[in-house]
Amino acid sequence: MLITVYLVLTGFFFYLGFVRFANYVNMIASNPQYTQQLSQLNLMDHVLRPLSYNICIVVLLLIPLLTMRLYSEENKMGTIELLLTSPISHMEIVMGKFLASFFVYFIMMLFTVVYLLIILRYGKIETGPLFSSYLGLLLVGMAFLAVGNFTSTLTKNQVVAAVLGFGLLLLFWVIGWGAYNSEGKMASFLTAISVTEHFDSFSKGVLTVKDFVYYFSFTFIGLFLTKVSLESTKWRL
Amino acid sequence: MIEVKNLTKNYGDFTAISNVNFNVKSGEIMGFLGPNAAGKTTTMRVITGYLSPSAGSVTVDGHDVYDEGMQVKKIIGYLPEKPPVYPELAVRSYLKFVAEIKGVATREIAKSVDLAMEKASVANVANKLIGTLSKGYQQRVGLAQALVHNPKVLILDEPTVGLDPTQIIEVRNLIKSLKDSHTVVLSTHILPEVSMTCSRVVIINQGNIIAEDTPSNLTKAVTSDEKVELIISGGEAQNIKDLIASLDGVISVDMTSYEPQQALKALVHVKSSFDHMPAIAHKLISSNFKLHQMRTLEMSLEETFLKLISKMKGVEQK
Repeated sequence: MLITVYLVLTGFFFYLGFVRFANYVNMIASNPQYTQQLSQLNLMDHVLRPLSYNICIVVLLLIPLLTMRLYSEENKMGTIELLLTSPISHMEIVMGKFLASFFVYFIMMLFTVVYLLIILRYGKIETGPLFSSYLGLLLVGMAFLAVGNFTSTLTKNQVVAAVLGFGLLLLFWVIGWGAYNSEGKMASFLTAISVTEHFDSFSKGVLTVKDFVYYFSFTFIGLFLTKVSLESTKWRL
Repeated sequence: MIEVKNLTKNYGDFTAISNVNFNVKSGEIMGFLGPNAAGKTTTMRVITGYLSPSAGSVTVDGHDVYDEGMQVKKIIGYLPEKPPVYPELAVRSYLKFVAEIKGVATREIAKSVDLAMEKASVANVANKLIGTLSKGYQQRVGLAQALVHNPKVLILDEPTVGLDPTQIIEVRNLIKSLKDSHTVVLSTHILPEVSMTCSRVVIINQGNIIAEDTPSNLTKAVTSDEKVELIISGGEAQNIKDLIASLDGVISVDMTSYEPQQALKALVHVKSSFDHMPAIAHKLISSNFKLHQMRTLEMSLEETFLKLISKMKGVEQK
């Protein structure tokens, strides 16, 4: 279900981007004044980069829906009692659920390879930025999934889990915008914790250590909070 | 096998159980009896390691539940109040999953699952989705889940709730068959259930242990005096009352009219219906009254319980 929605949306974005690009090329090609600019046009900048950015937004919307029931449903059905009274560690539960959700996400990403095949059929693109975009999407997804996993442990209600997850993710998405209104250290801090900032470099084909560190620590903190929240069931009620 | 020492659990300001102490010996079936919200579930959840105690300690097979949770969890099978089943799974795959997380060796899994399904008599629905099963079957799947890794200790929270009478008997027999090879703690709010299955009973009310004894002693304590209802005709109410009251073992007599027929109803409070009823019946008949009906009134759960609680308090004060 979720994958279908995802494919319809990304397919639509792909179509839009591609058509716009085609129109653009036609317009420029038919106007001799701009022939020089024609050589600057390429599929990577005009189709794939906006596409990967759009996919990122779709992912932001869909990941909370993917993760919402992971723990909240267990809380509601009482099956969490089975898991927590079995001889498995909290860490195993957290990692098991996280890896399972990442696997589904990975399959989702795999489907978009179809778009690339279409592009490759009609044009040429650089493979470098392409791979880094995919890597970026996987890392972004990983970080988002960790947040979704966490919010799902907080409640018995799937909808609450999804709304909380979505709210948190959106906050990290827009937090960089605050940088425009602030100065100095605050601005650089806000930029540093923003999800979009780090994704940009991936879509440009730039791989830096700080971006990797960012997404991995984001994921780590998310999963750590998930584990803490799970352990706290022993004490609350 | 299970040692509970000075166990206390608070939820915020509310004290669910306070200073609870009891032991369960190996191979014993212990009944945990109490009204709703008495602290039965909380105690069981602490024993299984689902909740942490606020104070006190629980050791299972020599391992502290809090410090060595993993060892304890390996040897406990637990059926919570609501069977922890996934409605979207088939019975067999659900039990396979449980066997896996309970640490059953991979090549043993299929065998353990089959055995557990047979014990809990759910083998006939092995391939059905749990969500499509009735409450009774789901309860038994829950029971199979608790048995699947053949645990030394079984903690069953109200195992017969939601079952029909035949199923209740089956489950009770199953629990009885576990005696000696397993240590069982089961909670219930049904008194006869305890006397039928358990070798020892702990009674809990409002978070405190009121009594700990064998079921037969407790049953004696409760049934030491009983109420018998008689339908009599052919005489004046006062005469009948005096006649019955004069007999041995009668504590009190209440006379009312019996509406459907022109008859009288006597509610007789006797020390023991088994010992004293023949004399009462004989006396009534030989005095030419017509005795139409005679039955021992079963006490309702609330009555039984209140009685037990007040009795136990009396014993304590002595």
